[in-house]
Amino acid sequence: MIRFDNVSKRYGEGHDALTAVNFELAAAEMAFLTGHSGAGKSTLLKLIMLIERASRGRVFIGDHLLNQISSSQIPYLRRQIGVVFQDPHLLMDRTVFDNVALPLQIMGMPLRDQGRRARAALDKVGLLNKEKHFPISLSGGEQQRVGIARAIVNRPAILLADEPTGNLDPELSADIMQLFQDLNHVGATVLIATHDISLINRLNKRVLRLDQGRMIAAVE
Amino acid sequence: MNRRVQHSDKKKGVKKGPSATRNKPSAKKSTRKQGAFAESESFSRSKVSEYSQSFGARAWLDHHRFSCLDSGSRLLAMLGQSIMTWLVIAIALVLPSMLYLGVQNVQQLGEGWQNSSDMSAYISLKAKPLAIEQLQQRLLLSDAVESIVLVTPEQAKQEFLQTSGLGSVLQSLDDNPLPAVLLITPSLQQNQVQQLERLRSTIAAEPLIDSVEIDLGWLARLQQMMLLAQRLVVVLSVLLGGGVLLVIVNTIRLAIENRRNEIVVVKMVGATNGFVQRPFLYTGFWYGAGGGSLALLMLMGAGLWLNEPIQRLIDEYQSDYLLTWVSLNFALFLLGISAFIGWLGAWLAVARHLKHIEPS
Repeated sequence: MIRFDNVSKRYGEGHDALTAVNFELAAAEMAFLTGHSGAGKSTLLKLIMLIERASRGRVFIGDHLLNQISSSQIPYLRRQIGVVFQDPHLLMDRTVFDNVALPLQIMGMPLRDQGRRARAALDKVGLLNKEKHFPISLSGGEQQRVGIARAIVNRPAILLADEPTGNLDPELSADIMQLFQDLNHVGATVLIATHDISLINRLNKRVLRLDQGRMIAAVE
Repeated sequence: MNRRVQHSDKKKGVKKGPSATRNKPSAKKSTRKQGAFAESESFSRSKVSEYSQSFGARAWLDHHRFSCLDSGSRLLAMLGQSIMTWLVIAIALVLPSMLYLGVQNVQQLGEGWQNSSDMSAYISLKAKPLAIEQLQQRLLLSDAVESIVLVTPEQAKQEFLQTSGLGSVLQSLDDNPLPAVLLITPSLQQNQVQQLERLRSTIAAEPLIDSVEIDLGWLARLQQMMLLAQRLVVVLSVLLGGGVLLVIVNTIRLAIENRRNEIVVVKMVGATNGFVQRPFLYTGFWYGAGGGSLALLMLMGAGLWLNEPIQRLIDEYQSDYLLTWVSLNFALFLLGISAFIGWLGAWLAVARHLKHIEPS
């Protein structure tokens, strides 16, 4: 589902964020991406999201060679990828429900279906009772779960997470990891960037390790 | 800052068809799993853009309606700020509109005056009353002449005695030095300066006529002034219209900055540029339409306030002229043009600023 073929990313200032990275993630596979801060984890995720483009090499998502996707096609690619950040990036002037339904609204889904889907996603993260609240009234963990509901609401083929448990306590982290596993079990390809070793050790999943922009281990 | 690199990277990327992944074993794995993510199989289609057509025109219209109402209610939510912007736009629109309407009225009034621009034909002192009467009859046959009033030397003398205050001078003379005068009113078609001039020379060519007087000078001057005023209207409209445009560009630019975070988020979850810019275009439209409506209200108010003194002034000149102020056509034109300027300003702001707001 995700394949990096000798991918390098150099930023304008001559800083190499990624150097000759090769890996492949099968459909419905779940893996961790780890490494020190600045090792290139975020850059790798950005290449998948087409927030950045590779300087060299090829990135494939499904059948698509991302190097060939034009700027106007990027939105349609992003609709197939759910992202969860350390900061959930919620819109504070909209209710929890509206935040979660946002991707559906963007896709132009009829309102009735939007409601059904958004509530299903909120139910999955256990926040159905908070749909009319504004994000500001939620705890950090709840906001993070709203972010996850938004990421999964249009049932993306790929789910990316960048330090999703970064500022959550261990118990909440475990809940959220369980959620990712559930999604993986119903067919989503999941890639989680984290440097939380205990989290990685607890789950017996493949680990992609980056060090100074190089993939030093892609353990099965 | 990484944005700039992005474009050059595009060219460097190795071009090779997506076929390389077609026979991956992994593609089959996903089809095996059913359930919530069944729809994610659409990924195996070859064109990304196919996803765009999934919900069609209905959704597009829905989002237009949503953006239109949402941007309008946002303006109402921060009413104080919106009113300021609307006022700036309205004032800039009222100035050239007032001048335009003023010119329009003076022009119509001027046409009325031109119609009543009588000529005075002074008849030779030697002419016999009978000959004068025949001349009057002959001139009346012309299409260009509406009516002719004969003022005999005696009538002229009486009038002069009453009005000039120089009566004693006149009475000291043995003979009446005043000639008979034909007051000729041109017919209604004769409202052009050149046509009046032609009629004047025909009459002047009559042997009995000493001279014909017509005050064409001020009519010509009025026409010149109207031409000048019309150009002034154009210049003012362009300048102030440009001002309105800049106000809207700047206001929308600020609105974009204020919602930068939101734009980044919606782009992250797959919003197209069209989707992102739509609410801002409607915001511009509302600024323009609101400013235009306010300008219309101001013009109507000014019309009511000015109507009485102007009408009294017109009555002084014993004219039955009625002031024409904001007509329906003019109102629609003003609203249309202001809404268009609003939309255009928003479009310019969006084209310049929205592209640079990308997730990073």
